[in-house]
Amino acid sequence: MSKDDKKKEEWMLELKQNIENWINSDKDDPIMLREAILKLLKEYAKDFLGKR
Amino acid sequence: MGENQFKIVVENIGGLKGKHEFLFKSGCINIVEGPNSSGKTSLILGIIALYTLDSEIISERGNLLKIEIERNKLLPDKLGVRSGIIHAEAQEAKVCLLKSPEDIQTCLIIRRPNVIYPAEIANRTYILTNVLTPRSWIVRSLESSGISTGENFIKKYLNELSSPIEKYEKAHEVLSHILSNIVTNSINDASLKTQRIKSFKKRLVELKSILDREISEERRLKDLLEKEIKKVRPEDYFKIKAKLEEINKKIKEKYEDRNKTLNYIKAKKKELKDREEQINKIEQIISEKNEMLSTLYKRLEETQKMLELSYNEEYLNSLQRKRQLLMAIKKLYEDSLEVISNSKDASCPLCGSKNLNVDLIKTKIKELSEDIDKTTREIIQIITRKEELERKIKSLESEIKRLSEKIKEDQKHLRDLREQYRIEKDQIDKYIKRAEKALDNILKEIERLKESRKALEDDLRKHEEAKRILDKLDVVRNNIENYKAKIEEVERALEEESLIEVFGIKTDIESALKFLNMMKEVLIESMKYLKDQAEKQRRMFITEFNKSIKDVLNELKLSEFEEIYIDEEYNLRVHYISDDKKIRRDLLPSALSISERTVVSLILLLALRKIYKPKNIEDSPIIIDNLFENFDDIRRSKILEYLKKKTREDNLTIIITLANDKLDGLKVKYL
Repeated sequence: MSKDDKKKEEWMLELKQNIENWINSDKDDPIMLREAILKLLKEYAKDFLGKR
Repeated sequence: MGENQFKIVVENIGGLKGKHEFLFKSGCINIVEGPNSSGKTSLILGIIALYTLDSEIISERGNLLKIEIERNKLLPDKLGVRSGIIHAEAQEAKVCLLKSPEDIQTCLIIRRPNVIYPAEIANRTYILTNVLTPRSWIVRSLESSGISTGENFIKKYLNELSSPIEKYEKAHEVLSHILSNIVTNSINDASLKTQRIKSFKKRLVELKSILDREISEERRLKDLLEKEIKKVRPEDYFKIKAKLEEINKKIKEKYEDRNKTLNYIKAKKKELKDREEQINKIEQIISEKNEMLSTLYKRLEETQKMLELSYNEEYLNSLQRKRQLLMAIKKLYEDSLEVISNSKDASCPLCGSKNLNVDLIKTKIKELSEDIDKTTREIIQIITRKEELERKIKSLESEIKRLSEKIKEDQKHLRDLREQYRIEKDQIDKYIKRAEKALDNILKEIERLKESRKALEDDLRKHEEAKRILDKLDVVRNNIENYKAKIEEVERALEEESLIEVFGIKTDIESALKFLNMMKEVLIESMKYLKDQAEKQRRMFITEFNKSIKDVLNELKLSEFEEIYIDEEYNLRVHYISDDKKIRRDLLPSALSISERTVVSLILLLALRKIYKPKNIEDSPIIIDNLFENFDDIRRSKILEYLKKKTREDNLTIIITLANDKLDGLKVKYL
């Protein structure tokens, strides 16, 4: 598995975990979920592109 | 009014002009009878509208209730027509629910135009699980079967009824939105930029090749000019050559100075721009956090309002007093029973009567125990709800505090940055001004040098051949300057295109595309996972639903249906036994008669209620309107008998409308 594939796998797991947490919580506002996901994607961008 | 009764008071609802009162009983079937156009459905519309109010969710968003009521056809498209919820001649309609004790009252007031008070969110679940009318989703799903219309009602509404399915679908929607609106758009932008970069690079190669040609031409013309000088001015040849070389060298040096100064100004301007962007980003973050803070304040206000409305200390005290009283009475009965069992000649401790009925006392004790349990449950429910809301308020308050502190920190950071920016800007502006002045001097110097070269060359123009060469040289020099300017312009554009912002990070196109494509794969894979999970949940729900349908069908003992179930494609299927005892398998409901479809709808509603018991509406009445007319006498009495048994067993309240032309107004009959 390449370095990038490992990264993708890591992101996917974290993303799924975040969504599952929201599904199992008593929060049901999708806007909050969207905000949380975007925050996560920004972190990934910072991690992946910031070092370049 | 007894505890197992409630009263509905309607005023100007639909066809019912003025005020009307109706008494309903829990644990039995309430049949609303009357001739056609006597207001049966109007009364039902009022009751449905009232029960769609969720007393626990209070907010300023009154419009939602209006939308829900309109969507479910409880309101006409334009108010005022006969079928509207407000009587055609009235300006205001009212439905009130009066429960024992008398002070519990819920009221819904609807005023023209399109205004509904109080402002509360509709409880859509009530309409989905408790109401069966010709417009209900269950009845409609059997009429269309979802095949001809392309919309599968069963799949659609099961998603709505199951919280996990709905949430998986919502999460899928969120990811799909991010994928198409952010990731794919950024990929498209990056691809367009790549194309533009390609075309700029091509143009740059072309321009550089033309420039190279012009430079060689300049060199050739200079050589020719040298030879010509040697020919026409042999005595001054070395002097003129050296002077021209010196001027050209100086011009070249000055152009280099010009470029250096321009780059310096550009770098300084970029420094300022970066600082401005940093400030803008923090301002944006603060504004987002402020928005979040105002949402939290709004939620806090709503929750506090909810607490205020749902918690009535006086009512709780009255329940506690009632419980104590019931326990004291129960103790008296228990004492009496003990006295009776210990003595043959016992008398009632309350009235002294010797004629004591042991069974009656035992029944009373049982009833009292049930009442005590019910009251205790209600007390616990009220206290739990209060504690739950208080916990929510506390968590919201701490969230508000945390966020406010973060905003304060950000604002301090912003103030520091602005101050730093102000100081830096003054300094950088000074540098830029100085550099621009230097640039101006350089350009003047270039002009001056060109003038002196021209003066030197003009002297040579007296000779015909030298003049011809010099004229050509002027054109070539001019061309070189133009192409250099064009190359600078394209290089600037290329620099601008070569960077792209991805989730707030500025990066080169190649890296951006790599990251975005990886992100695309992650999102697509996650969406697939969410879709699979939603489907898994749906299958589980269907399995449970089918089991529940089977149970209801077994209890109802209808000889015409062997099995009713929802298939893999979410279509309802029926194994139907015809009069000649032949089984017709896997029929779609559209193949059944209206009466049979109505029976199936009823079975589905009862089965759904068995597996799906949402909070707060367990005690709300089940409403069956305009459907019992579809049954013949035998089927009607069989179903009524079954429903009667269910109301007793599960303490349900069922309200059924039935046309009866022999009556002259609306009557409620209890079964």
